[in-house]
Amino acid sequence: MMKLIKYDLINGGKKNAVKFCAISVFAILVCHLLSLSFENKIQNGLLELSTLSYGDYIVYFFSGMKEFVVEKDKDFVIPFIWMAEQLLICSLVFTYPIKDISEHGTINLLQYGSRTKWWLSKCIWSIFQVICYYIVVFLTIAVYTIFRGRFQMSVHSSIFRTIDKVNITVDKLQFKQLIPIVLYSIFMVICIITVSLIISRVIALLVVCIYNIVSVFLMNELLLANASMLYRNSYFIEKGINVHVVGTLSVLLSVLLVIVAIMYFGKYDIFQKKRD
Amino acid sequence: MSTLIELNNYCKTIKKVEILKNITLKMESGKVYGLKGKNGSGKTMMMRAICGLILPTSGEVKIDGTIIGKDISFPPSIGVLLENPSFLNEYTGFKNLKIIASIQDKIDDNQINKVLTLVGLDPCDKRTYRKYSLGMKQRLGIAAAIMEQPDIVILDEPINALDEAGAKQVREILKQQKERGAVCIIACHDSEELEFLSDEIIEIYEGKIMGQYRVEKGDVINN
Repeated sequence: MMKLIKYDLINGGKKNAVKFCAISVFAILVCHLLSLSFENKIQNGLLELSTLSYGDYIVYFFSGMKEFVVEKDKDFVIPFIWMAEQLLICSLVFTYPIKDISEHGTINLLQYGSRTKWWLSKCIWSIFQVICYYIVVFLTIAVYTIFRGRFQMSVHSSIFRTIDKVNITVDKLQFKQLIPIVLYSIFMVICIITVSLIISRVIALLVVCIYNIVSVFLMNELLLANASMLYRNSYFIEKGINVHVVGTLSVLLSVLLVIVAIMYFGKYDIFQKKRD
Repeated sequence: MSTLIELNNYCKTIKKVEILKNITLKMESGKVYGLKGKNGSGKTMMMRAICGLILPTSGEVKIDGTIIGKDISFPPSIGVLLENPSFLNEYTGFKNLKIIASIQDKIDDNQINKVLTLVGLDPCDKRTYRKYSLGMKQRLGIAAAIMEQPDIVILDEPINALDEAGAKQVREILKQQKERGAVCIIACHDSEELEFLSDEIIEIYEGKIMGQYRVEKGDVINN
């Protein structure tokens, strides 16, 4: 199985190189946006900080949107940064696993002789892409912080209170606090490749987008995407979404989807789509 | 001669269309079987069925007595060239074959070089697959199918995009595969060429076997 995984990592990874560059550029833009807001608040005398920390940038990048409460004269503002992040993660697994079935992957499948292991390899590859996504984001923000901030894990709650009117309860960022976000991303990519296999890639993307949009509207543990917004996450705010529940659900649902996909792929007819 | 491949009452329906209808046949090792039929008659689907890439609606495919989809997922020793060969664009022909060969680890670099030469490709060619002509792509597809000397060789339109010299090489390759005891299944639009290459012709029309003929020295003999 290691050979299959190695093949997927190299072949699929190469195809995603450009996307990872785009993710890096996107992370820089988001950091720059925070820098501009921060400088603006400083100039207006609303903040008394000297510089932003690595922790501030990370929290802002994964902040998402605070709970939406329906009120008169209050418009719903789509959290574009968070939506773009989710779309970028989806884009990493949108093409390769499914296209490979009808392309070069067919030869590998016949050579390897096991549909189950072949699909498992694609799942592992997808999870690896998610991990790479977070590594790229963390590293890019680290580099940005070296030039435009202070490389510290401290989180200045006053910044988020001033910019987004959110009370962050964390004063020092720990990477373990971000695990629920990663687990949700893994669930999302497994969902994408499973629905792509069973129905189609476009439907898979639609399903995930609709699920994410509904999650933005409603703050609920069953809408797992809530945990990937730090402004709704129990680690970062009071009365936030219980990250332990969401983390466990993400893992359980991911495993369930993998099992469903393996059963489906066991009976799946493999054609060369271009001509059939 | 031992029977290697058996199709028993094989039926395949896709989106309410019967693609393969009650196909029953046996294929023995050391023979070349030519599938003859119009476009869309079910030749490629039959090949896919033997590979285990599609599974039957009813009936079965047996390889040496084991049922595909039940006992095994795919035939344990098979080499295929189905429709358009698909390789990794950014690698050379050699590197592409090396990646495939690394899965089973049965053959070394020398054997890959030999098979590339056999199909008329230069093993030292530094051009990537992206820059290959159609004919070269076809040759690489054939090389991938035969390089590990599998028990079953399936070639769909092997002489497509090949010049006269290439077609001659395919004839030679099939002869070699036959001599070492492989069961070869080919499909080809050129009836004359198909009859020349095959020991038996299986005529397919709208997913049904219409006839099976023996061929001797290019002449068709009714069974």
